[in-house]
Amino acid sequence: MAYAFEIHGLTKRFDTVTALDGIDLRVGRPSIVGLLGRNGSGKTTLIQHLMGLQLPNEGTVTTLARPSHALRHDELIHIGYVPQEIRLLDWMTVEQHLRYVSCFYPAWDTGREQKLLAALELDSTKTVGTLSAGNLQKLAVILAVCHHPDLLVLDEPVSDFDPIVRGRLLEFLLELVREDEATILVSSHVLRDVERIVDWVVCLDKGRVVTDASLDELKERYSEWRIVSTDGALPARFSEPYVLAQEVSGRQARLVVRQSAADVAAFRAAHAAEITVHPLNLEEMFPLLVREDPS
Amino acid sequence: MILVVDTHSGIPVYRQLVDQIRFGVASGLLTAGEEIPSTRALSASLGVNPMTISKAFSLLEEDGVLERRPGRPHVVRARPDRATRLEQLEQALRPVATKVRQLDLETDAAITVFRRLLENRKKR
Amino acid sequence: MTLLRPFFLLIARASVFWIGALTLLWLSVVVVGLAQPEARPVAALLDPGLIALVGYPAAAGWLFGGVIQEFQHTSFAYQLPRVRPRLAFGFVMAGLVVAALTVGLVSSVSSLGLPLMFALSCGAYCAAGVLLDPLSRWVTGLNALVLLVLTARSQDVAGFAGDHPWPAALISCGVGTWGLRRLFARSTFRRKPGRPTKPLPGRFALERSQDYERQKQAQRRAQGTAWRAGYLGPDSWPWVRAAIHETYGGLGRMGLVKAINGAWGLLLLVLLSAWIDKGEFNYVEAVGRSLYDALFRSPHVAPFGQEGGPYGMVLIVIAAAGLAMALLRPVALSGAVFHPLSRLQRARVDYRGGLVDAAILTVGVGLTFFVIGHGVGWLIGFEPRFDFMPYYFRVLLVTLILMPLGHWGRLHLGEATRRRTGNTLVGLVFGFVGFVFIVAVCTSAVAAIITSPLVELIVLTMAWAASQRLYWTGLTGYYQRADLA
Repeated sequence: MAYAFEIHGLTKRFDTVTALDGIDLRVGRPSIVGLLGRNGSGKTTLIQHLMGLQLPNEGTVTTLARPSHALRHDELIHIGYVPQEIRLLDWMTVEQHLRYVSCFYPAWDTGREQKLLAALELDSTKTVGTLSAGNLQKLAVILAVCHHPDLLVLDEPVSDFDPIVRGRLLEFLLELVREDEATILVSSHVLRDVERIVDWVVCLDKGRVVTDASLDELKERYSEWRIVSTDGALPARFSEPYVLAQEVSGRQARLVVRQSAADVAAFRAAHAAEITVHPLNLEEMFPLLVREDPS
Repeated sequence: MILVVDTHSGIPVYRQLVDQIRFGVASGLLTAGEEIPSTRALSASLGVNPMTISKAFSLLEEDGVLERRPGRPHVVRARPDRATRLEQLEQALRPVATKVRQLDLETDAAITVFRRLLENRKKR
Repeated sequence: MTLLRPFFLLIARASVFWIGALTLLWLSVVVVGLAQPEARPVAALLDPGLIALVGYPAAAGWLFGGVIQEFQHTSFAYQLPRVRPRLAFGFVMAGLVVAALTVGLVSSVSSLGLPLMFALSCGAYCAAGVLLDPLSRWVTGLNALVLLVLTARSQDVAGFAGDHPWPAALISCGVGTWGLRRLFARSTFRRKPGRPTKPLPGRFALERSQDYERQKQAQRRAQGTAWRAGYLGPDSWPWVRAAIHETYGGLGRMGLVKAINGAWGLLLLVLLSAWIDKGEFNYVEAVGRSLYDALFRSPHVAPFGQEGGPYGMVLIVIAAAGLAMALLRPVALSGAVFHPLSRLQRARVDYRGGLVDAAILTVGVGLTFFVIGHGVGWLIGFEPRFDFMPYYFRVLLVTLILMPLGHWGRLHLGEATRRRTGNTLVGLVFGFVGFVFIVAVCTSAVAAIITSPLVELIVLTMAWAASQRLYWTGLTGYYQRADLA
């Protein structure tokens, strides 16, 4: 099985709003994919299509080699899903809820369940209805991973965690990739977390895929140039096509450039300037990612 | 050898690993024939994606720094020759050269400072 | 005009209109029914004039007061300039109009003086402003009690008011002032309800205090029954078991007791009715008789069909119970958990859950009428009568045939709630009224057209099979085409 999921020409409209607009996407396995985008860019809608909960107006969605709307029990027991809005059954205790959901899957791993309860510091005697948002999220994550899923889909899973628990969860996700060779799709706004674990980045904007690249490639694609002129004169505006953002102040300038298309030597010669190249992290390049066209 | 990665710097993690291991081998911290921890172990201890580690290892293999042995951890090949080590030094000094030019100092003065630094170090 | 605007903007909503209209209609039916003594053998203690005089203003006060309560506990209401006097002015103006209209309506029936009637109306209106008080359960309970006594002993109350007009007017004004003060006091606007009794049902949600949330959490101890099962597998029946657990497991072992506990209102009605026409019976006998009457034949309500036969209330209760089971608490897998089931399996579990609902309704109806009804009748020495049973059975069968309508409605109700379109509450009210109406029409039609019991049984069974088939087709179609999230 080459791809965990494949999407071709997926378009979804709600009344007059086009939520997803011709999405094409393929994710191989194993891998951790970060699904990024601003609010309302279509992340959750895309995820619900992958899970077969929503049906496309156009195009096809294939999850674990089945059309996602026709996913059967046999495939679904290999998928873990943490929805954005977690509700669960209020009246059960955490322990009861774990026992209940464990019956859905043939390969439930009690050892992993206990390990995660301890690592995430979740009290299993508590009633689900009394859990805080963070603890509810922990339970939802545990419910989604103890059956050794091949595909794990997490819709904003870490938003309510404290930094320590968040760190442990991220570490566990890496372990999931190592041990189960799972493919993980994680949508998030917390770019620092995503940056730590993902190897592939997909960015949505207004229902379109605007970035679909490996994180390493992205980091090498963009960089920041700090420029000091040697002869005292810099243009008011740099017109090189690879300059994406600029800030010029007297003899100094700060440019954000598309490194892959830039020519340092030519630039240095043209402007008689010293250039120091600084890398950009994911948070810094995010505005570039969601603004840019795939072309 | 202790490897340190900063996942939030803009430098790709695989690049940080390659640089550190290459420097470790060149400086003799890692000796020829020494085993490097496995992908799995490194991924767990550094908290980074295993794919990233494999990518670093395969780059180091291509460069002849590490040697792959099927089913077992990578080992370090021979210490690189003098030319390669000089190349690494040049790379490290490049930002310093930029600073020298920005400070508007003549080459001789800069070399004097550099020589003094090198000799001070030796005396101690 | 600027003084009146805030209040009228608050009440100018479709849901307020519909709740008001339905309350008005219901009250009028009751009052008109009571006002025809020759058609009813008892109800000697009830005075329709007084009930109308107090009832209409009280209903209006409850509705308007509820709207104000809903608004006044929001976090921004207290900061608005002169919000209390403005709302109070609107509330009082509306009350005066309502009271005047009521007095005009009732004056021809009642023997009380006009000023006294006006005072009683105004008092009832103002007091009913805090009829359901979100700040105190005691006030709510006391109000309900007063209202019940006023209704049940309205003859006595009217007599007292006729004999002592001044004290009656004074009491009414005092109670009204208390209600007004409580509704519009500065402290009321500052506080957030600690234990919110919703002043109005449906979308009139109150902002709740932290304190309340904490109390609620403390109350929510795990009480569900334990679940023991291995891997459920790809078959659908084990998942139906899971659905039953999700639907009813939360009630715990004491679920039935709690369900009865929740029906204390009905129990109160039975006690009240026993109290009203106790006659020469002792209390145990009176309660038993009321219960028996409630289930089989009531002297208060016109018999349905032929003289002395069973009456329409039974039909309404059975039909409404069937719809409530299908619409509000069907055996179905909750959307709160992700179940690894294909769309076809989901349809299958839903369908079979509907069958379970039908079985529960059948058993429930059987228990109520055969065990409780005849049990009570036997206890108080009534001669058992089984001649209504075919009628009850017919109603039950028709309800079962039409129940998929409720299940079908639930799928779309869920969707409407998810998308937050339309007014769910108004939809529900009309759904219930419509459903009961359809059941009534179908039952009468079947009874009128088919005379042979055997033929009737065969026809109804076939109709049931057809409705199930139709439901299954619709359900699979729905699960093939609908977005489930």
